[in-house]
Amino acid sequence: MEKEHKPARSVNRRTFVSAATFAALMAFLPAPLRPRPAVAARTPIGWLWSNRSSARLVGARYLAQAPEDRELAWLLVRLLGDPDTICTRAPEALRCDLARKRESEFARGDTVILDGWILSRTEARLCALVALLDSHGNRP
Amino acid sequence: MIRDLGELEDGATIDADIAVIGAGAAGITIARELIGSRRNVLLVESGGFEADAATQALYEGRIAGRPYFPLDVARLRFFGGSTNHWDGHCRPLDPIDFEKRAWVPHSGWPITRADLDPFYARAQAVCELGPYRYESGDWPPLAPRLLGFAPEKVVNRLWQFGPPTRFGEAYRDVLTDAQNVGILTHANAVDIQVNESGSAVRAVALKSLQGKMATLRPRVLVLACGGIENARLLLASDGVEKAGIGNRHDLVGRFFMEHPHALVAFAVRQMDLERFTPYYDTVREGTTVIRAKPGVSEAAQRRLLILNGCLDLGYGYDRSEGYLALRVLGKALADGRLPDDFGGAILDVVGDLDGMTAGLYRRVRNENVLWFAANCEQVPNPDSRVTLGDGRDALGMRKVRLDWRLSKLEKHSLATMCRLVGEELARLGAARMRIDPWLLSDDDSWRDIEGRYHHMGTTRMSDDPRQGVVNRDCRVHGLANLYIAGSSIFPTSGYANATLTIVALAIRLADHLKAQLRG
Repeated sequence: MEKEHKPARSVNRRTFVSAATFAALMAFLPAPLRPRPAVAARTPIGWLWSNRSSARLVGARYLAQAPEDRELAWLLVRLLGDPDTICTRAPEALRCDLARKRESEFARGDTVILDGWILSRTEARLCALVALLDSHGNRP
Repeated sequence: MIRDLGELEDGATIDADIAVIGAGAAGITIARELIGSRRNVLLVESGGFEADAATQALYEGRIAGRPYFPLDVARLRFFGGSTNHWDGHCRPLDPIDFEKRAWVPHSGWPITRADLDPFYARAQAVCELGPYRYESGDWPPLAPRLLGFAPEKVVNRLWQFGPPTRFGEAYRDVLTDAQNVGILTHANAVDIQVNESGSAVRAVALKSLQGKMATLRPRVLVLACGGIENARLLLASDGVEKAGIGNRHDLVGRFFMEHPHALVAFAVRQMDLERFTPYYDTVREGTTVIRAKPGVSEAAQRRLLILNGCLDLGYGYDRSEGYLALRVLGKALADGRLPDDFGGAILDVVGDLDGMTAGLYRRVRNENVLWFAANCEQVPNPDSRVTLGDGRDALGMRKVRLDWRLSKLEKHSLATMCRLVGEELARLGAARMRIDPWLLSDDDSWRDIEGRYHHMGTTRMSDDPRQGVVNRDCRVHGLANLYIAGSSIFPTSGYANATLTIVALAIRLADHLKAQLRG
């Protein structure tokens, strides 16, 4: 049975920082999916949020297609495993992990098609992460 | 020797050991192979050595099913046949194309690719190609320039390009000079007459557009009139067999196949355009001209239960109507003239401002995109067929009615193929693909689908007379001396252009005829 999309709830700091780090990895999204000129961010990690509006759009579409990924905590676990360990790792290491995961997904065909674009499952989930974070009100 | 039916006495009788009706790729190849065979061979052609409108009009017919090209445009009726407008793309069918595949209804040839390999090798020279080598590993200098697709999903399919060979021009002299081969022009076969039991051809009624008649009496008759016309002539020859010759099991004209062709995807490059040169352009290896196309591997076809196919790759700034119309306008104006359809071009631009702007923007920024067009096999479908219509042509023959049908499996296969290629391009960091949304819709609607002037399947080959019109020797079941050459005998179409296979099968048939007549 399809999960009900829970109403926005607060996201604790640790989860938010983790999510922001993951979202930065969306730099490897294809150009057409990238956001129009990034909104200047006011936070110290604002550079991470370039392409945010496109990612949000893609993420929302993915979530409509894959409602089982609408639970933020669940989505984080599916992306990178235990959040406690994630926070102990350097962003570059996480980026490498996700890049490997993405390549492996393309190789074995674990992909999703959104508006005709072919994305690896991880790419789509990273976008979904942005959409979920924004829906929770955690904008930079 | 060349003769014209108009020069003969009305009602003349012509004898031949082997008569070949139709001087296209198949007919010319057979006649050429029989040079020096000490058998009297007559090659009969409806037209002359140049196209003429009246003869071409004999090809007119009615389109009853899916939209298709006008039938008098989709093929040519003069010496050389449709090789007078082909582009020389050649590739053999893949081994899997010959197999009976559980997921492809009515698939399976009675012969294998290995059976045909020696004839493909000989066909290479006939089509003025390089050596019979179509695997990327066969071309060491080219291999490293190709993308390293995962072979369980996508493979590089190679094509060779001929000049292209215009068979009429290339082989007219050698046929004319041959002692045992005659050419009879402006002679239309309008009726094949069989004996009372319907077990052998006795004669063929020939007629010119000027009304001159002749009777051809061959020991062996080969029909090589093309994928539609072979069926038409058999169906129209109903003097003894009321359903037409070779049609006791209601198969003649059925299983019409084309190569469905449409733009199906585009992609944003992540690698330099040069990296894609072997795919959108041709590459010379010695004197051989080659192009690669990403295709779905045999393993993937078996795993995913899809049809065989590959993607043509090109590039440009945009494929939208608005941008393409703007290009037409710009080019014409730069040449100091107005385009042929000036109003239409303006309307296309105005009607698709988004597309036009996007294309212009990409052009200014030099951001070209890759586009992909489908090359796909078609499911053999008995309801996709050629029948005789009500109208008659200038010779009094019933015109054809074409009902071309596609199924969901072609569409599903195309979408799956795009997905596999798109995944591989992304994995390799080469490009990111967007599949055209119409292809992903879960119905059997098609947009802008066309054929490629490849008419196949209407007299299909099978060892079982209930499943095919001709046997593995290309002889019509139940008739001792009637053979068929050309793509009408293909039981499945593969995705490769048909001509190389037509020529290979024609060489094989010529060898068979030589052996038969020797015996």
